[in-house]
Amino acid sequence: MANNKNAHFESIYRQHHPMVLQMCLGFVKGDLDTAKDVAQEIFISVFNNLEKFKGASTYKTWIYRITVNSCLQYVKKEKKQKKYPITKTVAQSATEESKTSNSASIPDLYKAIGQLNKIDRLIIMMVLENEDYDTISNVIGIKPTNVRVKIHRIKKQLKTILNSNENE
Amino acid sequence: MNEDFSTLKGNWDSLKDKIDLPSASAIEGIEKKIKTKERENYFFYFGTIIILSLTLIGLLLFFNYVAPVQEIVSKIGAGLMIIGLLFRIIIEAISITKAKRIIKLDNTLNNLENLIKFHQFRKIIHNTISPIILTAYTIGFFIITPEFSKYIEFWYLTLYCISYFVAGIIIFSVIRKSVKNEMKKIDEILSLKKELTAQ
Repeated sequence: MANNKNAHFESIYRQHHPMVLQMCLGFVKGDLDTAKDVAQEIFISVFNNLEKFKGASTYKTWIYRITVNSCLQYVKKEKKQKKYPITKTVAQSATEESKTSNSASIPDLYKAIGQLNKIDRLIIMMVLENEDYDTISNVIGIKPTNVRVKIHRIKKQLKTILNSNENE
Repeated sequence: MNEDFSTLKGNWDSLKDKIDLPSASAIEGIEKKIKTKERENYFFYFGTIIILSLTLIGLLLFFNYVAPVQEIVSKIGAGLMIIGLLFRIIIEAISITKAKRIIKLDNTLNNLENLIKFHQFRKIIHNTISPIILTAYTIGFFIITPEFSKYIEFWYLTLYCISYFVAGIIIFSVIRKSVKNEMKKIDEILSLKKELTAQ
């Protein structure tokens, strides 16, 4: 039974780890160490709650709920200890990479997402993951019509941020 | 705007391609971390209850075998101390039950509302319940003192009372800090809820 659970968890972990880590990276403005810590917390919650998954939604939607709640709670917990220390960030790594490849816009994306408020960061990342209004509504608990209005506003805000970052 | 967003989406996808798939050692690492976390959670949840229960057992043994008080007033004092501790243990158990009800599987809005309710309950514990228990405990402590003074030398008794005041000051500052901490948490969660429900 325990082996079955472990095997099941491994398959979920392999499949969803990149999505979770990327959402964490977007949330913590590209700080790789913090993002890895948050992702680890999320998968611990996934493992501990695996029996509670009833199949009412997809695993991805289920993991989104854990991801969003963990991101909001983790930062709340960590803020006392450190305010995003200047470690090697993905933004920096990507800047280093951009010297050799054509990925100069990638750090801008994290910077821009990081300038949104916390809830908006998580919503826009689900949009970037191609999730529809109903799924996002199911994850965050507000009506799909409100989600649509919110997304429209966040996209406009993100565009303004990207334009102003470009002009700097 | 849609065109801009498509470019953004393209960047997002290309960044995801750069994230390495988890290695076998990474999975092993997380399995180890799960076990460590289980132990940490156990102590996090039950640590306070274990410490309070040991204190209660110590107090019961003390009043039964070391210093069985004889006078009725002293017995009331000992009772207040014991009931105060017992009540604190019950409150801690309720707090654990409430904490366990906050599950990350809920939607964000429900999760935030549950967090607010939990921290408001913790605030009441620190703000109201703990001072009441501490007062009952203190009254109990000083009710026993006259009977103790018959058997203990004056200087020991003075030291005994002073040490209680020092401990009281420390406990009071811990309670004050905890209230501030809970209020800060409530404010943070309320602002997240406001962000979520705002258009």
